[in-house]
Amino acid sequence: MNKIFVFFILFGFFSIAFIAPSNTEFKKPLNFPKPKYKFQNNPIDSNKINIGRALFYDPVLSKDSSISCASCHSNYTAFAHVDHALSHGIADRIGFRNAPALMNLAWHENFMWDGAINNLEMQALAPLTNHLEMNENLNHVLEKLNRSFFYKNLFKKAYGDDIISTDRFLKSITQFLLQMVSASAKYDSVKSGNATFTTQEKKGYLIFKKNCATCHTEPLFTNLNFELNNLPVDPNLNDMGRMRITQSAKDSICFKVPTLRNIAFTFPYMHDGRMDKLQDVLHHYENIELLTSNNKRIKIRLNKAEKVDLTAFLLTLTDQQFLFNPALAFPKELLLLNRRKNE
Amino acid sequence: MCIKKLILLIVIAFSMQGTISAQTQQSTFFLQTDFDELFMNDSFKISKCVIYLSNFKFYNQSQLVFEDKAKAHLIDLIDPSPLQFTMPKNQVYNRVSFNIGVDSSTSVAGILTGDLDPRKGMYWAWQSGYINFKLEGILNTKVQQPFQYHIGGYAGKLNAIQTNTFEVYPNNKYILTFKFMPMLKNCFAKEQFEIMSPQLKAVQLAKLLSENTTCTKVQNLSNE
Repeated sequence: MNKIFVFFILFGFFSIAFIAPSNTEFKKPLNFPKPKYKFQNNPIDSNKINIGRALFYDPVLSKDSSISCASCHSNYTAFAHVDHALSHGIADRIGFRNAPALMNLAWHENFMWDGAINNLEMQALAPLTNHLEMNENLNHVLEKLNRSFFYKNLFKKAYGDDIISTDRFLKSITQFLLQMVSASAKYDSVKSGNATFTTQEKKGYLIFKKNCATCHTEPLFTNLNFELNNLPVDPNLNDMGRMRITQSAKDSICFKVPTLRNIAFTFPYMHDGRMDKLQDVLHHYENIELLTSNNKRIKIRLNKAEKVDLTAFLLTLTDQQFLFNPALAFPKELLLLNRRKNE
Repeated sequence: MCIKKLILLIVIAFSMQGTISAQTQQSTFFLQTDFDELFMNDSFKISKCVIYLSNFKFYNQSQLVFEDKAKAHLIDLIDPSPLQFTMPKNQVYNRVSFNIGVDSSTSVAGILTGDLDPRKGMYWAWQSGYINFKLEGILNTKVQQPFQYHIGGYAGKLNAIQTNTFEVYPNNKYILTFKFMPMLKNCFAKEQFEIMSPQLKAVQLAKLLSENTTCTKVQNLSNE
């Protein structure tokens, strides 16, 4: 009788250990506002993050298995596509916008330069199905994943059974995307009282607050709005920005304000990557009048010395901890070693 | 009598045999389109006709007495199954309202399952949001002209969702008829054969469909 009892206790223990979610709390940086993402619908779980991480780096998501999310969003460059004005998808097809850097996504309500995507959970579908990017379809991707012992094992561990459904697939990717939190730059240390700006950085910060902060609002360094930046329309791309989605004239050539965090690593700049260097961007803004989405008129005047000081401040937004976070890097053990064993 | 109408009558006849439990009653809606005649004379052929119906609410005067729990029903109108709502016995109501399409709160809710799974092919991946209804086919003119209307949009002036309200009573069965012809005539007259994104024209067509949707009683079952 005792043996049977012990057997059931042990069986129960191992069963629970195998399927129990590994709950991980999402850590909101102290100086950040409340995230917009509804975590209650997709509680953070390390096993699900693992799946999302594997999928993010796995070219299986593209039609010819040549392109992964990471192809255009490299972790070493704040998940931007460095040195590519416009990203290229399968068969060397060139896209029509610059791949945006990915970070602090839990605080965003819409995504892409024109806000076409209204929820982080749906974001992955856009590049997955775009013929210039991964050119896949959801059904085929799920079929491929459901044929993979490697992924079926990962899903079983995370969800209790090995069914790979649309919601599990997209929620797992979302869990990994939510981990891309950049809040450990020198700027953040200064804000928390653990570091001080140099004289030049301090001057640059004042210039930033006077000229840039309306759109690049702290601490995310974006007001998350769609703004006019007075760039002429590239006739080859004819990109009308937010108006493409809303079809409202007031949104014509308005683009989502990108974060300035890790800006030293996310070149080239602007929605079409037309500016290679940070100094090109500052040159664009050195003498400009802008009308913001809140109908606020801003005049920016920057002289040469101010641009140098401003650059010094912008460099304090580089977050080495984020850029070289091993938990966000290519999952070598998972994708190379474990997969080989499982497939 | 065309074959489609005959099939609908057979389905209705069989469904009348069903028993209603002592504690519950069912409100049943059969669904159909106005394509029959056009299939007959071969002026065009419909290859796809799918629609989201959502947010079914039953009222007694202005008081909400029953609300469908399903977020949305995806219906293939070429081969539709009846929609049935089970509610407490003796529930009194005199009005039903429902949406043609998916509302904005559902459209921004992130990933959803069942009929709202993006695998169903009714989700715009390039621009988040559901397609409220799809109508595809071929117009048999001098050259065969394909047409595709994917009607949706949930935000601002591009919100294409439509709400319909009809007088209905317990212990009756109804036929909801979605008359697409006015919409198709409007498009064909302007030689507009593709609408694939949220736009003002889509809102106009959604309104046309809504205005031409009818609800008729099949048979009173109160004496059963």
